[in-house]
Amino acid sequence: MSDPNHQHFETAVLVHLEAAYNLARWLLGDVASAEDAVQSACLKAMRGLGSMTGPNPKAWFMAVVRNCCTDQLRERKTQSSQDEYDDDLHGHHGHAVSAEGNAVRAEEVRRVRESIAALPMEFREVIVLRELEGMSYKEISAVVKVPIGTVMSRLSRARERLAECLADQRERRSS
Amino acid sequence: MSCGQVRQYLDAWLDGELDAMTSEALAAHTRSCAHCTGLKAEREALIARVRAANPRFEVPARLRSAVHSLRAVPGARRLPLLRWWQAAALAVAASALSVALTLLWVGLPRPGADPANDELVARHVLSLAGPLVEVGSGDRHQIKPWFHGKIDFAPEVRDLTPLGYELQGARMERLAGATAVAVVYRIRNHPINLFVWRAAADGQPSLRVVRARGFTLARWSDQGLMFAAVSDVEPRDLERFAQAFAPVN
Repeated sequence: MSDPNHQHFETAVLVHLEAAYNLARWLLGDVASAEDAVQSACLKAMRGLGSMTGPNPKAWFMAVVRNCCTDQLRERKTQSSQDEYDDDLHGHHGHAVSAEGNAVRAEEVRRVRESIAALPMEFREVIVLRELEGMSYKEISAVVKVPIGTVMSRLSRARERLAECLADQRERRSS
Repeated sequence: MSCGQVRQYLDAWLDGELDAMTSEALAAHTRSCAHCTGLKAEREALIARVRAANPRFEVPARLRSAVHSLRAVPGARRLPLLRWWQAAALAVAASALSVALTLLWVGLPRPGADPANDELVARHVLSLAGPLVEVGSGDRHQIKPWFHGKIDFAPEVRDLTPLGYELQGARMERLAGATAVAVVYRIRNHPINLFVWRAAADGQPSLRVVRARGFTLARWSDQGLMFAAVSDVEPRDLERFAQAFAPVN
């Protein structure tokens, strides 16, 4: 087990599979597209392990995943006017919630989920990378390929939008 | 430090992205400013709320196993880095394979003049160069009548849209010198050719899923008809597709 490439694949790809799938699912909306994107990202990652730069395998792999997602989104745009979002995203199946499963919690998760889903992609991705993956601004900057200052302002605006959206939901419910 | 600056740096501050001096300046201002204290509390609550909800998605089991078996992908084996993994990959693949084998492999002898996998793959590849369909329709009620008078059997055309397989159309085919038809579906942009022809010999109805030249084939027979679905999708995708057609047994 001393082959460095093999170790790279383990440390860069396999251990971050969940993070990769989560990002892809949030960016693409449905299970099948996310699976496709993650699979091709893994293949690309395998081929590019030699060219992996920087000390942060997670950020590197997540950048590959994000590329595969944006490729898919671009294809979708040219192919048809198909919605970027599919009901899957708003549905209650296939996500890791129900374990303790009381209705109040499920409702809360649904609200947060809906609000994140409603964000434009550039805001959605920084929220996912920061709040769900716990990545630093520097790491996010490497994944999204924008300067750290941009990460900061995007995240700030993303949270503002998210807060507004969650507040709107409350108003709609109480009115 | 002004309220405007607090607003600007609030998130970076809460995320621990600022140096100690700036952080202290922000803290000092916020302590003495009710407005900023409120702002900070609101933002902290939002962050906590999102993290508590933790709206993640579970990795589908099939993706997990697909990624783990990637090391065994024949196409990737050309890469030097994979050479090494074959031993490890075998272990991973073996467990998946043993399940697949018990489920799918029935060592069916190929009946008489039924086309070989190679021919099916060749026809599939040729169809990709076009035309993929001679009658293009997502409505099975338009495709079935199109076969009338062209063939002496009636292949069932199923609507599998709910499963993600979109009906694209159909065309006539020649397989092993006999007339056949191809019904075309598509999943996630991957075309699937479902070839149907009259069995040359009594075939066993059991479903087999095999790989040939990098393609996946699912073959089965039902009521004297032979079916072969060919595509470049994962075996599981084709297995699921075939199960929607294949007789239950």
